[in-house]
Amino acid sequence: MSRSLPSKLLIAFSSLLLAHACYSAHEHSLLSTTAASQETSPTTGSTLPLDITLETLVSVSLLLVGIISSGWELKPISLRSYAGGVESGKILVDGNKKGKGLFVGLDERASFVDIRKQRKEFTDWMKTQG
Amino acid sequence: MSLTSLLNRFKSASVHPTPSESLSLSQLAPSILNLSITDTPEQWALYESLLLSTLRTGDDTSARLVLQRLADRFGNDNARIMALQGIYDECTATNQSQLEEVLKNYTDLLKDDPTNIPIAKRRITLLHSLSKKSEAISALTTLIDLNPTDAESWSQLAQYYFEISMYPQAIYCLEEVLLILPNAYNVHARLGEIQFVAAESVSGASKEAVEKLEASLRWYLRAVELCDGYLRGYYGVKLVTGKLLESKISATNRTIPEEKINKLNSVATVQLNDIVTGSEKGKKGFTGYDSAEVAAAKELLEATS
Amino acid sequence: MAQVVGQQILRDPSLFYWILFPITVVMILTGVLRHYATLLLQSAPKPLEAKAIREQKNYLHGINLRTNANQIPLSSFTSRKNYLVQAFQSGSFLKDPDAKNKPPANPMTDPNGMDAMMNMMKGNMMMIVPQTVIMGWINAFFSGFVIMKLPFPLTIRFKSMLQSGVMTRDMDVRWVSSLSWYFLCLFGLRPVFTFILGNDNSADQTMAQVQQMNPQANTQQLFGPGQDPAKMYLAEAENLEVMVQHEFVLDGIEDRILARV
Repeated sequence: MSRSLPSKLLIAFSSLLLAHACYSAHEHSLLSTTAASQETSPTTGSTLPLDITLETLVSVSLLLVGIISSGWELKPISLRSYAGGVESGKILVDGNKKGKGLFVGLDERASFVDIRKQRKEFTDWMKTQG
Repeated sequence: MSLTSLLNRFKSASVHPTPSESLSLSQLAPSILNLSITDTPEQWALYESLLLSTLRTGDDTSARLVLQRLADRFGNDNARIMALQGIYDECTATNQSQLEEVLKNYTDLLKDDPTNIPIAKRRITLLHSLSKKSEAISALTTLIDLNPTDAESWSQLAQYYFEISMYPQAIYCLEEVLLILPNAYNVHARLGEIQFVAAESVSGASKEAVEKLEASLRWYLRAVELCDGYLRGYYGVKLVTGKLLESKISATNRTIPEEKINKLNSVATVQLNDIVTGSEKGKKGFTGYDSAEVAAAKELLEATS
Repeated sequence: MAQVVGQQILRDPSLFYWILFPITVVMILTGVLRHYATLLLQSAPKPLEAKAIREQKNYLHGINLRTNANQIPLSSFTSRKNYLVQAFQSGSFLKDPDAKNKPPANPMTDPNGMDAMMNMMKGNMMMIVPQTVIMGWINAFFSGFVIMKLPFPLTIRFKSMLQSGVMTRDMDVRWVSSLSWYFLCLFGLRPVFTFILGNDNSADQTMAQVQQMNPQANTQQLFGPGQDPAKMYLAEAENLEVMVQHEFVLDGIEDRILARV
């Protein structure tokens, strides 16, 4: 989660710009309707001035750049880095603190667990503990 | 403690925990059994792990209770419950004749329903632990004939073959695992290990031994390629390259040029050094390594430097 | 914007209490009832017998070998290929090798197919029976009323849907008859059921859980009814046979690793 300061500023600035463009467009539409009603000609003032259009486009593209650059760290998508992350403990898979690999099931083989041997190991260990 | 945090504790433990680990897990039994039954898959997974832990530590009364609850929910004729019941019986059997009884029970169950794979696997394990190794292997091959796409069975068969030093067969089985799970990097590392051991078993500097060592090196390299910072893989690379660089191996037998082997050796050394220092200082991003494996890597580094 | 002159129809407020409300309640209750009835009628899918599992898994084995051939050395691949092609062609993995040349069984008489069909029929019956009954009930009691007005305008196309049972040509489309309200309920109540019954497949959920405890019960059929496993085996053998290209992934691995650092 790294939201750097420059990208935050960029987002704030471009949002302001976008809001301003919206407001200008709104004002313009009000102005043109009142003008139209006075002049009684429906065709005048129906197009938006170029500067408002440009302002909108620029602010939206800046906003996009800001949002993308402020995005979170990308997740690893190659198996190599993901598996490596799991192995080294950088990436935790469901609360798993010890880095158990992705294919650990093939090493552990739970269906073939030799429970009697483990039980014996445990009793031996208990004896050494006294 | 909540259900998920309890479950996570069991998940972090391996299927083959150390005795002290088993003890602490088994001591969670009262708190787990006192939780209200919510009938979620997580809870039943937790019950299953708890059953194994309590059996390991000899807490048979808790185990009985856990098994009873599982059986009440899923019924006694559920294949997995049957296998768990079998594990319980194996543990509570006190002498040889009782174990034979359990084994006979497994065989009877399989006669009724040959598709009961959990029971089949239990039977194989019990056969093996009763030192009927060849019977275990033949039972496992029958199971594999029924279901040749089960990676776990192939992997176990490889282990059995490896134990009786039948390396080509073990390699064959692990190759089958790769056909099912082509990205299983630990299987690649395992193949490297088996090739290495096989190379040790033939006479030192012969052409065959060098071939096996090179094959071993390649499997280890593939494991490292599939998984960044794989301790076991780099350990193998370092070990095998060191072996190949030993003077008694004549360069004519090698297909990989010496400078490449040298470079690979130094790459592995750098990586192992990183892991060992990072892990010893407990740096973030190095906490996942097993301390015993790190110690072994350190030993290897010190022996060769 | 042309102002639409709204049609004014005076409705008795008891229309609301005695028609709109009951229909909705009845619809919800039948939905709940149907859910539990389906749960009761659902039978666990029958596990396959050993030979069928063997037939399917060995077929998958062949596919695995073909897709991941590059993971193993050429010599290992060739020996496996030769073995599997030979076994596939002789049909030694087939459930009944004698039936190789017979035409596939009629899915109507195949017991496995029957089972699946029975299940499908049960599900369909659970949908159709209550729907017919309730539609008949509404038609018998409440047909011919206009019971409500939608708060938004609609095009004329919706007239037949919303005003079924009321044959008035000039009436605004926004007026809704009781039968139409039934249809609206029928299609629109899914979120309500999700809310009442929990995540709309609580039936599926319990099934999935039992299934999870039963990993070996490979109930799903790889070969659908009517498909001939013998032919599929032959096709797979051919696929394996024509595989000539083999690039072992371990070739040149040392250069790849060295190029990475």
